Amino acid sequence: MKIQLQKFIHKYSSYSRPNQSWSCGKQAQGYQCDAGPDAQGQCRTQYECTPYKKDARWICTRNNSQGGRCTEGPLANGDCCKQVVSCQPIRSIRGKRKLLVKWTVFTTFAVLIFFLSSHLRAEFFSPGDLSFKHAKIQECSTCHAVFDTSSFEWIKQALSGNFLIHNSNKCLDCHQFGEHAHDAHGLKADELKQLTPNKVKPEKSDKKQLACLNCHLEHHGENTDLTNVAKQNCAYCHDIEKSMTQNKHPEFTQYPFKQNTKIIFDHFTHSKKYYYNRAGDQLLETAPESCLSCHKSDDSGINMGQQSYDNDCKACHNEIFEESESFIVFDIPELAFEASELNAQWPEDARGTLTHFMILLLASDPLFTEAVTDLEDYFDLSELNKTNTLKLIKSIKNLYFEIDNKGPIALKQRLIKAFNCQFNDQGQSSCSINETELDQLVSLMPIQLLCEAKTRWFPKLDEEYKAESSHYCANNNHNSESDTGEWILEELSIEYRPTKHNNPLIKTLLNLSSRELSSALTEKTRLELFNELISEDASVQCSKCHSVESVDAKNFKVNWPASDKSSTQKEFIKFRHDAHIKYQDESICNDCHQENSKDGYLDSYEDHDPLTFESNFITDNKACLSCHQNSMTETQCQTCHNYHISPPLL
Amino acid sequence: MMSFNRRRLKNSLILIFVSLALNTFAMYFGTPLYRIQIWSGWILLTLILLLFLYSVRKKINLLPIGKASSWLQFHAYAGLLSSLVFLKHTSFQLPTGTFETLLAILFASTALSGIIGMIFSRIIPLHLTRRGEEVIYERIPAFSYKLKVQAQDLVLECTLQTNSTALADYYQNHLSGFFQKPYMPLFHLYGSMGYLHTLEIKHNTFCRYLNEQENQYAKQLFELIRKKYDLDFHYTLQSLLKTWLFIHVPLTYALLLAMTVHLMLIYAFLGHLQ
Repeated sequence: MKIQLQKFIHKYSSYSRPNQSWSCGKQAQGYQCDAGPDAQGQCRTQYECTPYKKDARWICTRNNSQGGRCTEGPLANGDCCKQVVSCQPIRSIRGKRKLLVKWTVFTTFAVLIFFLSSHLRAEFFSPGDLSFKHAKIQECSTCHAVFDTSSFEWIKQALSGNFLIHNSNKCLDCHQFGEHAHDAHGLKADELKQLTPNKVKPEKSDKKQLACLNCHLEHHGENTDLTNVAKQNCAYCHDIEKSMTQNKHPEFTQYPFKQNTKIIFDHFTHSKKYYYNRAGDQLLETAPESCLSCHKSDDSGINMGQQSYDNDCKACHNEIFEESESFIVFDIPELAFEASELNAQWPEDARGTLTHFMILLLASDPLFTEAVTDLEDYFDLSELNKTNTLKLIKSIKNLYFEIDNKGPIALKQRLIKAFNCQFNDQGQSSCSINETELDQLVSLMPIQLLCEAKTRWFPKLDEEYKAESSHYCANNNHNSESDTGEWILEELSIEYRPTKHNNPLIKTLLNLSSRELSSALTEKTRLELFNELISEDASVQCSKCHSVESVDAKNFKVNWPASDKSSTQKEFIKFRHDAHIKYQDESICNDCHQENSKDGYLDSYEDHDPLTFESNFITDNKACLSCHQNSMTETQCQTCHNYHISPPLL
Repeated sequence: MMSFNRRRLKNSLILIFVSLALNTFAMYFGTPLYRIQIWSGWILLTLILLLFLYSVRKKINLLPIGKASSWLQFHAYAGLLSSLVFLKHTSFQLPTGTFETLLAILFASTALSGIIGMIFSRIIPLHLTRRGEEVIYERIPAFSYKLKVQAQDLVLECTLQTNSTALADYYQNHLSGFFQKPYMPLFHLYGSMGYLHTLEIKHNTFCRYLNEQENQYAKQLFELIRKKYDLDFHYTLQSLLKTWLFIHVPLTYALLLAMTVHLMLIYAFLGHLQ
């Protein structure tokens, strides 16, 4: 017996509406009506059919699937004779799904609205925990200004079109990167261009600002390293895609650096000549055993600075100071005429010259400038005629008289004029000299000796100037503040002998004389003074160890510290010496710093150009690549490079 | 007309090509400066809206906007693509925030229910055509009712004709529940015929005690049992084809709502890319 349940012939198949929300309640019994329920789920059927009239007769229209025309036929009034009991429609599958969708939407909407408007919204909508460095931040509004506003404000903010930078400004409340914080590398475009020529893709060279959020994304858990930035970020501006693809570091084009060391120290002359002989025998007890005997990493672990003069150099080189010779600072110059010829008070046996320092002190006196203007050779006093000689005598006496009366102030005022400087209340200077330096120099001057010299050399000076006895020296006992040198009053001169390293007088004189002056007279003198102080004939030749760099044609810089890098200063490239030497044998230094067979280390300092340099050592990039090349995929750019080259200040 | 395998191969190749193209685009242009999160987010949103349009298309029958079957193909492959974009968007990491976790769960559930539905729609029809008569799902309760009535009529007729209530008692005691509603759905999920065999053994055992006339009725009754068993099988499997949408569709709407809030939060608290 074959049983067929479903017939697809229209006469025997009921009309189904699966896309409607309601189905006939009698569907399950197979008595489903053709009309079906309405959209609200109400049964709308009263009779089995709706008869139609033909030739004054009502004809039954009952469907074949429900039995076809009935035998009774319609009533006389045209109603169907078979009244049906209304059913209770049931939801169709689609109707049930639609209801579930409505409830889901309603529930989701209600949950979102609840959390958006409740005090739990911070916990609910927070994308995750802050990194441990920001863990102390409790309030969302500390970083998100809009957070404390209503949800409508959030929507307005979202639609406002604010950029990442706008939302990054809050970071700068704590992290100070200066006024160009959002510019690339936190630098002004011009400055950056100078520092990184040709390093940036041409199309990105004039770009735009960067937001903190471009690289540092928070809310990824407390163990997130915010400084771990993808290489692709760097590749946005820097042309390194090819290197990334090939898993290689770009070619080193500017490494190793060609810039001389600040302290002139020929490692191999010392090690092969003074510390050890060729046979390797130790010649000095104090000879360093390895590089690390002298070089220690600083707090940052980046710089391997020398320790100090006292530790590293003093043992051998202190005799320079102990046996130094004095040099004349104040002198009584020999004149072309005898004092009697000039009818002036002047020491008879004066055989000195005008020292450079005296010229600087006298330069502000108009009498002096008048006297020396016409000299062809540099301060050859034998060329002076009588009138100018008298002017010179007068100007020198003026100097001593002023010192006697005003003390150090007289010196300061004269130097200010000589350097053509003006200082405002904040101590800012209109010239290359700063007031602190000047005060230091003046404080180191032997005022007491100068007063004594004035009395000895010009005993009738007060009478000449008809001055009262309100002298500075009479009322003050002024001694030089320095203990690193000694002033000596000779018969007709005052001399200075530096006795210790780090002599402030010599340092200040070198610093002051290293910078260009506006007056032609003083400019020539300061240059002469500078050259004298750095010459081999100097009492102590600081420049033998402290290199002198020419900043430009007329300005120089004496490198006093061994390094001008501070431990907090950040440059584009960072190299952690401490990380590389830790747990390593001391000979690891030689892996990167190999002896340069070429001579010329000392000669490279002669032109004062810091970029003309023949290092004691040679280094090539193979030293880096031997370890880092194979792990380029794991190595981020910031392993060796800094993005923010100025330190963040919290 | 393109064969099913050929169509699947073509669509899979398109999916692979688009995925690789998007990945290449992200690698070279999108990754720097966290653009990948923003861009992949917008691509994901676009894909989800396109996926959602499929349900709109099904409701619009009059406009000539492509065949529903073509839309379904697009829906299936775009859904797979959106799953890949979602993984890229989250950088293959689990989200850490409550809301974002909820959002990820919503997406994952929607995608997973879609994938399961796609697998159902590929496998179940094959089983349905192999066994029993093809029937419309909505009519199954009526057919089931019809079988029950036929069985009851048969048993009554047997009682009248043979003056024996043996078959009627047997029906009352052992089969009335079976004909009343869909029976043993778990058996049908696995396509098992085990319960039918059990019924058959029981029925045959019972028939040994019937006379010849009663046996004729009993044979007809067993045909009805077999028919009902097949009908239950269709009902169970077709129910599966319908019920996965009870998860997929509501979750889609919840996902759209949550996504809108997510988008608002991103632009309110992060801002637009420069």
